[in-house]
Amino acid sequence: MEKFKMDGIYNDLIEYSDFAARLKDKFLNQVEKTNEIIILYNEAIKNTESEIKENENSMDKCKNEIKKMQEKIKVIEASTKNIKSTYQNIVDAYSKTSEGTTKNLYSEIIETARLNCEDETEKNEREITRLNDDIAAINNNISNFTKIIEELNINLEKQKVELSKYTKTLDYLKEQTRQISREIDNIANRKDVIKHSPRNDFLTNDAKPNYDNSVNTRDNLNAENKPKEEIKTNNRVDMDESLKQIYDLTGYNKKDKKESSFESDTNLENLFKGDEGQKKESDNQSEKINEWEKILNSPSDAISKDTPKNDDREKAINDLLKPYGTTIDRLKSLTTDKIIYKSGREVDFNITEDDLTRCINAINSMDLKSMKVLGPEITILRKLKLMKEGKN
Amino acid sequence: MEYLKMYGLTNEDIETIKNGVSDDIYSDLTLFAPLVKKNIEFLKNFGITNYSQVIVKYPDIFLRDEGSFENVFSKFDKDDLISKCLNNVAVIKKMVEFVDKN
Repeated sequence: MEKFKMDGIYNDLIEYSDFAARLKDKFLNQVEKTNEIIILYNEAIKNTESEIKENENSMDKCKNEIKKMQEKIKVIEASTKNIKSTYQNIVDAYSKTSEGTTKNLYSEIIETARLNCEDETEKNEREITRLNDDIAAINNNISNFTKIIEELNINLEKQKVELSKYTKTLDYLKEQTRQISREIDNIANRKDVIKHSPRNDFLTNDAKPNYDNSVNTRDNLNAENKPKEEIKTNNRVDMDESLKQIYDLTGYNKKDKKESSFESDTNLENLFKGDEGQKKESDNQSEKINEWEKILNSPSDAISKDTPKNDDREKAINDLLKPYGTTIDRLKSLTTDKIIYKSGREVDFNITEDDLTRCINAINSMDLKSMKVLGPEITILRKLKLMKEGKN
Repeated sequence: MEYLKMYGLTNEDIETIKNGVSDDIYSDLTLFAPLVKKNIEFLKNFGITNYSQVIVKYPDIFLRDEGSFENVFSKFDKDDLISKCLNNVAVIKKMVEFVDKN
């Protein structure tokens, strides 16, 4: 008998460990990218704040400029008032003299004063107008600065919100990475446990299979090979599951084999050789049988090339199960190979394509309600169980 | 139900479960052991330290799809739930019932 090389549980753990490691890498990658984005946002926020400050400074300068201009206007207005007052004084002083050449002279003085006054006044008015125009332009600038500052503040707010989101995302990613690391450690521990469990030694020995009570082939064992004590490990049920899978894949029917004695390992070899009767039963398993034979190192020519494929049946049932988000293999992975009742009575449980087809065709509104609460897989499996028990 | 010993349950605990559930639930717990184990692992990894008590008192809550089970826990604040469960495991059952009804 050639060695079993596969421990379903151990390989599952390796697969899960690889998956967890890949997931951790992805998370670390995301952490790195998120960190980069956070740095960019911090920089952007800094730039925006700086821009806001510059605009505010410019706006302040404009306001100061306007103040100065307004003060200058006041000064000019005061000057104009003064000029007019001076002129009036001259007019008052010189117009009292009324006769002769003095009158002409004083008239000339008054006229000159009037012309000067008008000149100055006009000059001052033009200056005031210019200053007012400047003030208007500067006010326009101030108004633009205000808009810019408002927009920058809105951008700043948005940037801060985004930064806060990315910061929370980073925290979440870091937490997830920590959890995955813990999970990877946990898997490593479990792998150690399985690797060093007595059951695993059994798997890599050349010794004859030593089944415990939970596997129905006990009846097939002769007195020599019957175990003197039951092997009890934490992995017993899953090991049985692996064996169940082997039986299912090869179409080996334990009930049919009850009569034959399990004298040597050649009987187990025959499971994988596939005699005429088994070929008919295993017509839906040829591809998987080929995979198993590689794993179990059975002779490659032991499996008949005439064994018909039944991928179509499996595909068909998986198509039926697709709306429920599951597959036949997945459903099988969620169950053991027997039902055990409180009384101790045990009944074999095996999921076939026909069973599932009947089950799915019988799904009613109650089942759909149950799917909504408990999920589709458990609902289908429970329905299948009830059908096999004859209760549905 | 021997598989439950992996999670710290004793023979007495398993007997308590057997006496506390119907034959249907009991047989479901034996048949759907792989599914139950996945859900227990989730509970354990979630941070519920007294998960073995939850298994003994409310084994039926583990008879649901993984996605559905995880969904129940996603609805509540984690730290709050862990501390409340430590005081009284009945909070888990209440939580499941609440989510199922809503």
